[in-house]
Amino acid sequence: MASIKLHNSWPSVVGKSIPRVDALDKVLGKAKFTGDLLREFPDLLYAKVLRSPHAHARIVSIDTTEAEKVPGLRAVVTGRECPEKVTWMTSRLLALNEVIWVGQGVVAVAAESQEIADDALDRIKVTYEETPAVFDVEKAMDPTSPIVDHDLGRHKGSPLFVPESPNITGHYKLRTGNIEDGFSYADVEVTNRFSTSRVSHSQLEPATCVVRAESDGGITMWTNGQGVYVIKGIICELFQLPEAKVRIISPYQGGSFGNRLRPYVEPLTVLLALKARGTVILTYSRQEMYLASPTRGPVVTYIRTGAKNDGTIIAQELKVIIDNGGSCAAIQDGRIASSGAVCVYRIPNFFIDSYGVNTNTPWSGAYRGLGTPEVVWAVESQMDILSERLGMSPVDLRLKNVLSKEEKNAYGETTESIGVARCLEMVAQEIEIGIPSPKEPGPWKRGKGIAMGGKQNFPMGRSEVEVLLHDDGSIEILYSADEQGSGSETVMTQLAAEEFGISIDRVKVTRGDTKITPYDTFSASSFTTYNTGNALKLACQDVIRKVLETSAVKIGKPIEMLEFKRGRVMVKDSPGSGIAVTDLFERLSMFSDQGEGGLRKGTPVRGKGIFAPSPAIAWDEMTGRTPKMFNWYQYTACGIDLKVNTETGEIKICNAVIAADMGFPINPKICEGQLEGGLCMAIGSSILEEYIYKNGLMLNSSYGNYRVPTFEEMPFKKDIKILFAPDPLYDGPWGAKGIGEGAMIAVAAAIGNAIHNAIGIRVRDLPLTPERVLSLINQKRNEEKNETQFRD
Amino acid sequence: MKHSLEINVNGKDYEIFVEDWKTLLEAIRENLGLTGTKRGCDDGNCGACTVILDGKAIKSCLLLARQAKGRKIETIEGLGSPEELHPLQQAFVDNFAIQCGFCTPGMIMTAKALLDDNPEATEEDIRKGMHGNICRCTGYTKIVEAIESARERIYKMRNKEGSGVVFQKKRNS
Amino acid sequence: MKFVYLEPDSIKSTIKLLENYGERGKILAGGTDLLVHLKRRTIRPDFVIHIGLIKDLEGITIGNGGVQIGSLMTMRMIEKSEQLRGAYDVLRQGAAQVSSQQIRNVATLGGNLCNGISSADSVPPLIALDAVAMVEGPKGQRIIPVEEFHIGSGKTMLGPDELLVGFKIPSQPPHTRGTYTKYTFRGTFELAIVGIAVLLTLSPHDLTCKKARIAIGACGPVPIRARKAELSLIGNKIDEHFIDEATRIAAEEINPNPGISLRASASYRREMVRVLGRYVLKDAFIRASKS
Repeated sequence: MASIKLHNSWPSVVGKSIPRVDALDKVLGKAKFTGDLLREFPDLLYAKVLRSPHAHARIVSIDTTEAEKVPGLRAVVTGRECPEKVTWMTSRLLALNEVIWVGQGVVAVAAESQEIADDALDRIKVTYEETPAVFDVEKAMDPTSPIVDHDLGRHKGSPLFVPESPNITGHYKLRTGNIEDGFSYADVEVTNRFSTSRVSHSQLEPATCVVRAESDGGITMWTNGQGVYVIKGIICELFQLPEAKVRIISPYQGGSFGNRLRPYVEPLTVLLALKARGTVILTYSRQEMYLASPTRGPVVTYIRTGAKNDGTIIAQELKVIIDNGGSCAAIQDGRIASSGAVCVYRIPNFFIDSYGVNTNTPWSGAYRGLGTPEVVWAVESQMDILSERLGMSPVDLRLKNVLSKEEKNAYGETTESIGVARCLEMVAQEIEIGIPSPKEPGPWKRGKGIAMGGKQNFPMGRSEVEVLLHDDGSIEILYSADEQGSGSETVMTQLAAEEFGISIDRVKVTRGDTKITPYDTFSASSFTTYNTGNALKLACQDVIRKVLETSAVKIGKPIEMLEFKRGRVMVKDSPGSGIAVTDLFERLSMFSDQGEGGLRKGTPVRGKGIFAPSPAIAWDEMTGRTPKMFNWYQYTACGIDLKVNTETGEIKICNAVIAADMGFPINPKICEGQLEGGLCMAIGSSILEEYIYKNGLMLNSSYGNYRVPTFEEMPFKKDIKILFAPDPLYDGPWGAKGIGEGAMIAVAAAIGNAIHNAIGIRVRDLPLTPERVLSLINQKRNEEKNETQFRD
Repeated sequence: MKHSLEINVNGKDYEIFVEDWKTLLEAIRENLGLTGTKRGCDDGNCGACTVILDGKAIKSCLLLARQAKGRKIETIEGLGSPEELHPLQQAFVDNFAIQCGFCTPGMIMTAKALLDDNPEATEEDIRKGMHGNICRCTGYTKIVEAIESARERIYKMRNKEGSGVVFQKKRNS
Repeated sequence: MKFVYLEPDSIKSTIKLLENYGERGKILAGGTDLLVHLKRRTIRPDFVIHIGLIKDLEGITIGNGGVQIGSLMTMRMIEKSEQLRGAYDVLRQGAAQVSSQQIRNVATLGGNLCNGISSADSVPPLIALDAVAMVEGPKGQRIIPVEEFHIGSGKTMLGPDELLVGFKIPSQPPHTRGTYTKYTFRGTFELAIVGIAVLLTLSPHDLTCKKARIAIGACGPVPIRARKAELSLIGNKIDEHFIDEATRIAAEEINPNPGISLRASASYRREMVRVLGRYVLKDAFIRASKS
């Protein structure tokens, strides 16, 4: 792994909140998203998918004969026409022998207009034979439960997949220390069950893919999916297309939050385009986004914690059950989700059993936080319960047990950058935890709560970046990671401008086109700044080295004496010396050597950088331990001051604070925006968002009924505070880590802890809708009434 | 079958040919190629399709194209230019109120209608007026800041110039 | 969706079209409800009849007998109307709480009623005001009390060949004021979990209640008047005790669907009728006593 030296000088562009480089096009309405390219495609064919109305059924027959007679219909495909190969990244394009959730695709068509496609779908007859379905994830773990997916064995699951039960897709075990010994020494023991609900990313731009079948047998694709090269690899493999003839292009992406991590529209669109021999567009409706695109699976966590009277935690046992829905994706064994419980506290005796389990509900995939927020919901609620039992302040208990740098966590990893304690202190101070808020009139009760947590960074991904130094000194960056809104184009621009010492308006980014830009995995797991940013720095340094090599010859000084500064090659410690880079490029002339050697106008200096995180070390099969499970962790703490309406159960967030450790903020305002946005999303999944089902059919499949927060659910701007507590990462670009997911981690538990502070009720199941909260309040009232009656 | 329809968009008259069932959103995007206005949900919730019709913000996915006959439509493309951004556009840039940008045109058009109707809109008025626009990226805070900043600038410009609004030249640099 | 778009320029020509096409034709006013149904393909008419240009369907006129409101008046027009003051203000409150700015600019009073869902925000105020719907068809005109207009979830008394042309609200006794409030988890953006309109007429001497209307939406297949609750207020000086009583009775008069609900369960709605009802009743009383 290449090592990056942190610069000795103070940055001039990096660390500043320069305006986003894509902002102008976006406010003018000029920024092109995939669906905006319509006019470039004459004779576009429209794809539509017929979906299962049943949660679980055998497909008896599919009759498309009437549909095929519809004029203007150009292709019909069923599961039989889909590629045989299925992996965890792609799952099934269309159902084959059985349907396993309501909304799963069964038949797809491509037609000359949307109306013809609708007409064709109306004429398709599918006969189903309903079979028993299982909706409850704990029931689905039982070996006698209905088998959700009879084809599960055909998929490549986790390498440690042990089929204990037909619906369990993976089981991760951590065995550190001796658990029963640990609990035997504990003075206090607390056991609880916590749960979260199914949640949807609900990003604004629906999944959209355009595929043009080319006359040479290849394809060109425009998509808002993530990772042009990941998509390319999958398409080439599935359809046996030569890599040289496949081109994947990524226009701007309207959000993702993990929803687009698996290519779920791309393969089907390719299939239709190849069959119809034309250009096909597949766009999901908003309802399809809820029913048929990956969701965040519900998580049930059982947590048992033992501590000494002085607050030292000595034992913890965790059982984490993740609902994969009808098809597991990205999270198969709960290892990543449960990592939220490992990266923060010192726990000498720690057992984890985490599972991925299939049910007949909409399929799950990656969602901002990759499962850690759902587990931290349990862990951080438990910490407050424990602190109350011990008579300790919730802040003190956490600080007592938090890992320090150089300490080993329960995996056996050495903790590197961990700014979480500082985050907690900042948050506790800002929210004035311990000092009650002023009383509210009427039924509102105020309360405060804090929580903290960490989220792993997936040590995956190889980033390649090319940098071109043009003869006029302007810089072009070529890279393939995504721009879903998180600002990668701006961050890359800043990093390059800093390396070359030039103004940012002399830097241009070209992104996401496999014909032009080099390999990158995708933007996920908050690793773009780290992976792609590091590759970019290496590419810049490669260019600079090449320029210095040429200059050394021209100036007649050894390279060691030269440096590159603000568009000039200088002799070190000799101000006023040197040569402007632009002067290094010679004009072509028939009177001079136009061939090899030296720089020529019109030919930029090309540099390349390749960066990959150092490899993880496979964990021991028996103990689940390893000195390198993940790469680095991002940390946040959250403080919430809220009020609960004891008549309606409503929760209103009065003040919210998030403190974040992102290593180093390359662009502070962009970091702030990510944290504010994450706070809003986390508030949504904590108190508002859930799937409401009837026989497995999601009923609330629109923004009107699926409760994403609006302007009115967020506190006023003066009541939200974002604080930075960066702890530099030794090998991050300028010490930067990532922060895209950070805000999600600790919010739910801070809310839960604040509710307890307000009304003395411990909440365990998300979302904390007014109805749920009110029923807990009423339950408590009844219990108190019965107690009084009993005493009387 | 497509029939002729005359509409006025961003001050220009157009004759387009659309089926009877096409929405205004589809006509704007597909017939006129003005793709700044977005489809986020198609059932009138997210607000990404907001345009201004005869001075009022409306969701163009819920209007048939034919309903717009003879009426004045303003889209994001008619609002400003790279040399002369509307104060709202400038404010969105300056205040980092944009992340993925998909909701942005709808947000700006709704905010414009809001401020035209209520030039002294408070944060509470703004949140209420923008209630029909969903954003999943920003958490709304910076959008509110941008609208307030635009409100201040528009107010200053109106008072300085007397009547009419003059946009100052601004560049995104 | 696929259909032929028609744009009649008068009530008469509209009715002719409805007569011809019956169930195959659907009236398009603002479209904020109809277009959602058309896109979901829950209804598939062959003809969509746009009435948006018919001037006779517009306007608010105040006379001695009360107020006449054209069915094409948008929520925004009603919200901003200077004429709908005093007792009629309760209708303005209903219109102001419909969804969002963009929807209110287009959605019509007539459309809100004809859509036939019980969470419509303008309907409980209309019921509280004893409003009637004026309907025209091939057989002539008829009057349907708004309270009777909805007959089931999504079903109204409007025949397939009839057009809702406007509303008549009778003049209200002096010292009549009211409040409409809708309760949701996300402001006005969502459809109501409970929507309550209370209109009270108080005696100017001792503030006893002479007339009461309590109309509740979203708590059953159709919006209803809580008549027993209303009766409990008549002749009394409304205080905490009577408020509690009335809301308790009202909570039992509603008929929410006991099954799975998108927004809230039946038992929660019942409880919210009590909780919200108290605030709305109190607020209506204060407005009426100030008048």
